[in-house]
Amino acid sequence: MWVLSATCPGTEPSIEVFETEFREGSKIKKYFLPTSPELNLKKLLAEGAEKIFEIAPVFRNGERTDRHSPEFLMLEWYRSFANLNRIKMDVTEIIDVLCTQMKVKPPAGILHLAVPDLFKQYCEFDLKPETTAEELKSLAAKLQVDVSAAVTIDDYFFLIFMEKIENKWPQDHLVFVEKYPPYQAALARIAGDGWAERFEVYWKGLELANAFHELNDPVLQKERAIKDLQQKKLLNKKPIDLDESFFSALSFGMPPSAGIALGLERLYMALTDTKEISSLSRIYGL
Amino acid sequence: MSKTRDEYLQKHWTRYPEMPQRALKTGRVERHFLGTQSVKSLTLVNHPSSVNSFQIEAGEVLSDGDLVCLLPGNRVVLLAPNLTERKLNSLMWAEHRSWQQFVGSIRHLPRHRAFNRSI
Repeated sequence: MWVLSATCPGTEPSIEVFETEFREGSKIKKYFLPTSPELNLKKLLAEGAEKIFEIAPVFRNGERTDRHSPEFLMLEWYRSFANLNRIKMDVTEIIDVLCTQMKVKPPAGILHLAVPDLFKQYCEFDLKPETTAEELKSLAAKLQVDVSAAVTIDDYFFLIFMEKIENKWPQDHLVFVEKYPPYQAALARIAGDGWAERFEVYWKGLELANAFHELNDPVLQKERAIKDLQQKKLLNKKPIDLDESFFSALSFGMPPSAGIALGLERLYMALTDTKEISSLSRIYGL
Repeated sequence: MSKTRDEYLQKHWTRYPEMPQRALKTGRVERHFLGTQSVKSLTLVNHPSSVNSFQIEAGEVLSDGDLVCLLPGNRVVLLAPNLTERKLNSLMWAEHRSWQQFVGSIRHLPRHRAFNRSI
């Protein structure tokens, strides 16, 4: 278990971090609460772990809605020498097992939906890996989506996706949404066709999990991380540093791997038809 | 880094390929061995799906710590090179696994005494 991070709690630009400090005599050092155990788990993949998981409390500042809490439990697992299909099988198995144990009706079926197909179906737009921010801005105007708060291309994509696409699919199905644009790759590989190799999992209107076919090239990873920090600055998020030990691990060699982060409260909400995440954290949570 | 290795990594290697199908064995190379299998005289190939078909004897390129996978036909693919000076005897996973098992055991102890977990 790792809780405090001295430098990097995760570089995802849109996530705001919790900052704290460690006092040792007169010395004060800045620390962060983790937004995910991801970087540390990947270091262990480079150290020889082949199948590894963690259930960790994670912290995201500025997030509180019916389905967002500033503190929640994340189940993350990674398989080295594997790809995303194996992780999809894991997700399906976990949900099947839990449905049986909790005597819950399982998903009516499984759907695999590609982001460009969803843009075509719901926005009548040919989304391509090279689609620009300007083109998305024009699409937003045509669809009357309010993008006045958008700063980056990710913002335009996200706002259109949220308003016009997300959860338009059957809610009783387990849905894997895949083939994201390259600027949404985060820590995922980019496939030969230009799309990011990641998927998100939805069930009963809730986004449950986010999976990556992990990027293990230290050079590309560092380029993306530096870009993330620049975006954080642009979005007025708290400044953080890069975790150099993560890049050292990649330089030592991380196997081709796939991994996933699954929000446990969200999964419980889907299984039990709970409407508000706060009902799960009213005693211990923030 | 030897000239041959450097040249291979720069000019011929398909960088950080995805996991090939039909892999027979995976792991880190140590003294030209992958476990008990010598890889020295095997043929180092690019990812099977790669258009780059350059081939070379693995012993010319591979170094201690390189992550590879063996394929049928006495072929080996370089998945991730060791670009550091680290040696394999410094791997931390064995030590960490022991800690994980310890924590796992502690987590189960209260259950055996019929305690409920608080969160």
